[in-house]
Amino acid sequence: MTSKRIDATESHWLALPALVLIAAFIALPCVGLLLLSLSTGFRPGDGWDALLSGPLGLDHYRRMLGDDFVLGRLGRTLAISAAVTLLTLAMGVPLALACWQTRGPIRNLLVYASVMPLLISIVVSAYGWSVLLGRKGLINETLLSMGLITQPLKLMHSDLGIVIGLTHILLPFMVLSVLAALERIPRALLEAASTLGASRWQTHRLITLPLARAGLRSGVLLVFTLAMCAFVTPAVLGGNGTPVFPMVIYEQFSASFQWAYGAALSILLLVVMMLIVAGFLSVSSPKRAA
Amino acid sequence: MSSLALQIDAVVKRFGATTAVNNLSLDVTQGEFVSLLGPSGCGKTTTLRMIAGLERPSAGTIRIAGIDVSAMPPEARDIGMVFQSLALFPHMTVADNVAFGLRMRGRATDRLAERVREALDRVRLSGFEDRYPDTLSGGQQQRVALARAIVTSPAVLLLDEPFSALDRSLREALTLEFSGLLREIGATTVFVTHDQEEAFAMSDRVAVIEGGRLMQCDAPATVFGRPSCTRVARFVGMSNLLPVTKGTDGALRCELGPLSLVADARGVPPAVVGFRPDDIRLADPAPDSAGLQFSARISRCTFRGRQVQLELTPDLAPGHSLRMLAESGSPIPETGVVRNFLVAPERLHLMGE
Amino acid sequence: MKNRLATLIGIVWLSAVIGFVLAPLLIALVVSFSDSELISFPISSYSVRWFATAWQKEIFWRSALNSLWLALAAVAVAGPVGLAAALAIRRAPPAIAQPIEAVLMLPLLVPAIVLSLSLLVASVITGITDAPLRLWAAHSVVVLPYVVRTCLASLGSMPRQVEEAARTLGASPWRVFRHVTLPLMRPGLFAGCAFAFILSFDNVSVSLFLVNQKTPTLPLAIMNYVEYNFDPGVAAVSATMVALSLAIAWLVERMVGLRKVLG
Repeated sequence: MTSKRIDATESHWLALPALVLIAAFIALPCVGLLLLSLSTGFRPGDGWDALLSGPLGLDHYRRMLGDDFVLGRLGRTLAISAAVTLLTLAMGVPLALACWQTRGPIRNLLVYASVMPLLISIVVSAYGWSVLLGRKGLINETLLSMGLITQPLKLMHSDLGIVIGLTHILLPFMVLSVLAALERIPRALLEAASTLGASRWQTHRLITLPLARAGLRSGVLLVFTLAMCAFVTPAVLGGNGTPVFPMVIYEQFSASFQWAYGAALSILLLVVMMLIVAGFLSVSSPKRAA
Repeated sequence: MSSLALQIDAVVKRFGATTAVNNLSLDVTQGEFVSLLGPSGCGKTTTLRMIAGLERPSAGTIRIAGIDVSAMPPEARDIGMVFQSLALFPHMTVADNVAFGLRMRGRATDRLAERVREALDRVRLSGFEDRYPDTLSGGQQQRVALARAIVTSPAVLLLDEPFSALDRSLREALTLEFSGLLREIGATTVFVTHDQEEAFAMSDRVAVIEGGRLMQCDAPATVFGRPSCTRVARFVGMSNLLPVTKGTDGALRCELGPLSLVADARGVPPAVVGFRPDDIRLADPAPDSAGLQFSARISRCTFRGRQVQLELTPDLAPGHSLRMLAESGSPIPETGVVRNFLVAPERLHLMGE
Repeated sequence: MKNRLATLIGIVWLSAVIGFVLAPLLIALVVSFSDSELISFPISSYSVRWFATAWQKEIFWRSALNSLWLALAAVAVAGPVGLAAALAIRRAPPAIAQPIEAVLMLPLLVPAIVLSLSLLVASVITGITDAPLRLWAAHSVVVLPYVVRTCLASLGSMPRQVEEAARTLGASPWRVFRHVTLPLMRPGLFAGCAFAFILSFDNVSVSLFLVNQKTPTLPLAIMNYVEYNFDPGVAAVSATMVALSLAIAWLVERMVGLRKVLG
C-alpha cells in the first residue's frame, strides 16, 4: 500500500500552487485570447475593461473563413506538416527499432543521437541547417566543387528548408514515442516468432509493428501537431513572406497590429489542432490497450 | 488482574461498496501474543492497519493502553510496526534506522547510541550500526526492522506478515527466535499471517478471521482441535463435515450412523460433526462401538509421499465423499473395495454452523 | 542472404539518419573554429578567436546573463511547485489525481505560439508589461510539467511503505517528508530541475513575443544576429550553448537517466 491511504485529504492542497500557476498563466490568457477574438471594437492599447464591455461578434471569424490567403496558408501548413510526419516516420521508426534491439555502447550512442535535437536550442539547429543549406553553404559548395551541379541549389528559404529543419527537431518525439511502445513488447514474442520460422523482417512487420501501434499513433500525432504550430524554424529557414500559418498569426501582432484578427487566427489554429487530434484518435482507435 | 493493552470494539471498515472488516471485536491483554490468521483478503491486514492508524475505521473504536485512539494519526499512537516489505530507510544506516523512532518521539536523546546498541544486541545484530540496509541479508534486515519497532517499548507491537518473503528454513528459525525475544521483553504483539503453523507456533491466542469477521479466538490447540464453526474447521484442515440431528431420545446421529459418547459442543446446539482425514481408521465392524462407524467404498487412492490419500464413498451417503489420510506402508485395501471404518469418539468434534 | 541484404540496407539507412541528426550541430561546431571573417567552404584555417570575440560582444554576454537568471528564476518557481504537485498527485485517489495531472500537462498541449501570444495580450491588457516578469511567468509555467513528471517518476520508484513506517515511528507528515521522502527523491528532483533549466535557457518560441529590446534572451539574440551577420561568431556562441546543454544533459543522465525526464 502506498501512503495514499493515510488520510488522503491532507495532501490535496499541495497541488494548489501549480494549479493556480496554470490557471493564471495559461487558462486565463487563453480565455482572454478567445474574448479578444470575439471583440469588435478593440484597439491595441485598450485595457481589459474595454475588452469585457465592448461589443462581441463573430466578425473576425467570418472574415477569416472568407480569406483565401489565410486558408491557403493553412492548407500549405497542413501539407508541410504531413511531409514532416512522413519523414520522421521513415527515419524515426528504424532508429527506434535499432535502439530497442541493440545493447551497450551502441544503444547509448543511438539513444543520445536520437534525443540530441531536443537538448539543443532550435535556434542552433536552424542556424546549423542554414549554414549547410545556404547558397554558399556546405552542401552547395561541395556539390559545386565536385562538378555535380553548375548552379547552387535553392535548398534554403523554401518549403524544402522548412521540412528539413522541422524533421530534424521533431524526430526525437517520434523516436521516443515508438521506443516507449516497443519496450512494452515482451521479448518472448519475438523469440517465438523466429522459432516458428519468421525472418526478421516478417517478425517486425507482423508482430512488432502492430504491437507498437500505440507508439506510432502518439508519435504521428505529436509530430504533426508540433509541426503545425512551429514558428521559429520556418521563420529562419523559410522563404520570404509568411510561408506557414503561425507566421501569418505573428504578422497580425507585429506588423499589421490587427490583434483581434490575430487572436481569431490563433483560436482557429487551436481548433484545427483539436480536430486533428480527435479525428486521428477516433479513426485509429485501439480495440485493446496496446 | 492484567490490564488490556488493546481493545478493538465493533470495528467496521468499508471501502466504497465492499466491507473489508465487519463488526470485529477483540481484546488483547498486556504481554499477550495474538495472531490474526486467515486467507488473503479476509481483512486481517486492514484490521492491523486500523490499529496502527494507517486506515480509519468506518465505525467502532480502538483503544490502546486505555486511550481511545480512533481519531489519532499514527505518529501519536504508542505503537511499533514491522511491515511486510520491512520498509527500512535505504538512505540511513542501521543505527539511524533503529534510532528514528526515538528521535521522532523525542526520547532518550542523551542515551540514544546506548539504546540503539541495546536493541541491536537483543536481535543479535551487535556491531551492525554503520551498515546500510541494502548490504544485509534477508534475515538481518528482518532483525533491524524488529529492533526499530521495539526500541521505543511500544504499548502494542504490530507485525504484518514479516516472514512471507523468506524461505522455509529461515522462516522457522526466525519464528522461534522472535517469539522467544518478544516473550522476554514482555511485548504485547498482534501478528498477521496466513500461515497456520506460524500462528500456532508463536501465539498465546489465535484469532481466525474470514470475510471480515472474527470466527474464533482461542489458544492454538483449541482452534486446531475444537474449531467453533465449519469455516474455521475447514481452515484448520478438519475437512470431513456432516450435518447432525438429534433424535427423540436425545441421541445424536449423522447420515452415516449414530454418534456415541461424543463430547458436547461448548455451549452451542450441535449442528455439524467434524473429523480429520487422519482420524479415520480401518476397523472390523463391531456393534456398540463408541464414536462413528460406517461402511464405505474406496473410490480413489493417491500416493503423496509420507501419506496416502483415500477418497471414500460411504454406503449410507453415496453423495458425500470423505477424505482419509493413512500412513504409506500401512495395509491399505485396493481401490473399489468396500470396508468398515471407525472414527474414535475423542476424534469427533461437534460444532455450531 | 536476404537477411544480410536487409541488415546492410538497414545499417546504411541508419547511418544516414544519424548523420542527418548530427549534421547541423557538427557544422556549427566546425564553423565556430574557423578563422575567416565569413562563413565559406572549404574552411582554410582554424582558430579559437571567434569564441573570444563573440563573447565580448555585449549583446551576447548580456543576453546570456539574462537567459541564465531567467532559467534560474523559472526553476526556483517550478521546482517547489512541481514537487508539491507531484506529492499531491501521488497521494490522491485516482479520481482526483488523474484530472490534476492532466491539467498540469496543459503547457505541453497548448502550442507555444498561442501560449506566447495569449500572455502578450494578457500582459498588455492588464498593463503589466514588465518584460522580465512576464518572461518569468511564461518560463515557469512551460517547464513545470517536466518537473512534475520527473518527481512523479522518482516517487513511483520509492520503496513501498517507508513513508508509512516513518509515521508509525512517530514522524508527523512534515517530518516524514523531511527525513524520508525528500532525501530519497533528491536525485529525481535535481534531474527534473536541471532539465527544466536547459529547456528554459534554450527556449525560443515562448520568449519570442514577450521580450523587449532591453532584455533579450540568448537564443533570440542569436536569431536576430544571424539575420544580418554571416561571421562565425554566431557559431561560436551556439557551440558554447550546445556544450552547456550537453553538460547538463550528461549530468541528468548520470543521476537519473534522461528517459525518466522525457517521459
